[in-house]
Amino acid sequence: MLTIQNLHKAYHSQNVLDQVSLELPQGQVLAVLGRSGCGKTTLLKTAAGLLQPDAGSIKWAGESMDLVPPREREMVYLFQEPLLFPHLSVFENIAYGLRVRKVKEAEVQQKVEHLLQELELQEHAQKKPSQLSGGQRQRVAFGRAIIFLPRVLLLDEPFASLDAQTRATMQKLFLRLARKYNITALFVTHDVKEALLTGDRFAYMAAGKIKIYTSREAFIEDPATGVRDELAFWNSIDQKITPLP
Amino acid sequence: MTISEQRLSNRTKAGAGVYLRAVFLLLAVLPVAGGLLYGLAYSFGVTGALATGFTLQHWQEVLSSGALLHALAYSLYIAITAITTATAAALVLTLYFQKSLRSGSLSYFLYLPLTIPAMVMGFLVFQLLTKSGLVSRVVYGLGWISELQDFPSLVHDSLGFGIILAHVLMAVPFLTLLFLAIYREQNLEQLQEVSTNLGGSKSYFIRHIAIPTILKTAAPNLLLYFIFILGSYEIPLLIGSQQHRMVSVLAVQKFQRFNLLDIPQGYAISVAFTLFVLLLLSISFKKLQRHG
Repeated sequence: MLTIQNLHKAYHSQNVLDQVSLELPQGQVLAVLGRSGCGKTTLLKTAAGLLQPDAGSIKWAGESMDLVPPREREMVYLFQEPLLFPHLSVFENIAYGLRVRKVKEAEVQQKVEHLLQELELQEHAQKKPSQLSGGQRQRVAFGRAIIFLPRVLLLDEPFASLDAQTRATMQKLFLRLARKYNITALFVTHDVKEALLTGDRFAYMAAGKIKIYTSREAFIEDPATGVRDELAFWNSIDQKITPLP
Repeated sequence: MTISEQRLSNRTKAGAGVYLRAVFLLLAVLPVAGGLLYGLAYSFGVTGALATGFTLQHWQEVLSSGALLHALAYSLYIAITAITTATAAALVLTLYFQKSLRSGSLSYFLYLPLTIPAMVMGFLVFQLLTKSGLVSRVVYGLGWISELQDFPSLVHDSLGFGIILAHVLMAVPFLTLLFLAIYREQNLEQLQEVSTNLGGSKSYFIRHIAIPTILKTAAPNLLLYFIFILGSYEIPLLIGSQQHRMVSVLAVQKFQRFNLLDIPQGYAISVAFTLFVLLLLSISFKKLQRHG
């Protein structure tokens, strides 16, 4: 279980994370909804060890991660941009996490080929990132992040730059692989639909504070999340285009 | 704008493009091609003050004496050593001293040599490294050598230490600026975060991501700088060895000798060197395109 307790971070006396606490059981996805600048990215980067918190603690299975350096923390932060290594092929990009762990070559080949199939990227294995579409690049980045089965996956609006159709495909792919590999993930998004689709648990973040909901219904019912407004909007559209009897 | 006006405008633009290309050919390509043809004609005895009519004699003399091949081999040795050393130094500066280079006083010291012409750099290295130079006097003052003459020959030496040092001093600032720009452009700072997050150490990132990315992106520029050193003249003339000459020095010596009959050989050397460089460039760029 991932446990974050009273995490606090401020930039120039402005609170970006304000006493953030959460618990996330293994194999579950916590969808964190929030607008730009609410502190979502800081929360994820702090959990990954890429930023140092001013106060608070991060634990995995009861073990403190506070002094564990980011490269040993195994909490992988997936950036908004795919950020693939430009001179490496798709295969080598995905294999990176295994190579740094000095995994045997035969195992690397087997694991990467299997994941390439899962990601439907077999025919692109030897291509360079510059030869791929935006969706394909994001799939490679996703594969690179999960190949060594990290403790926690920290997704920072990973599909925000994709078109609607590719985004929907990626959301389905994420859900399928998250279930298959029992991935524990913090999925940050500003898209209500994406949050409802990807999360097992739900949270809303605003001005550095996080609110955890006990159920999907509680998340939907809270006016702050904007889910009801969104549903009302789509209902009104539906009524306009449905011809009256 | 109507369709016919649009077409007319497109045609005018296309016409301007043709004229611009013609001007470029006239100013850039024609003088070089003309010079090369003139040199070729001179080397075959077709033109020049002592032209005897078409002959292969000058080419045979140049090739049979071995001077050209020796000069070419020496030039390659100097250029490869200098560009490798400068690239290594620039990589170290880019990867380990970025912050100081961006804002600190180190940047002034590093970029200062960019303002120094090759001739002046040659003189500076000479003043530093000759047996009666600054370094020699300091070493003598420290009592490490009993006479100034005991100081090792670092200029006019057969290993070309002085030439290599002068070129390295000139190349390091240029290459460091280039590598820093590539570092930013290729997002290497963020890629290092990605690498760390995936479990890679800093040295793993440097060996497997940063150095290959920088070298691959900088390859065309490194090749052009290598060719610049290969054909350099002032520095080897000032501080080069008497026994081993670089190609440009050899060619100019042939041009400036009292014996006018040596001039066609100077042209033969120049033409042969130009063809060698063109061949090197075409092979290298094809390879770079294939791996690009």
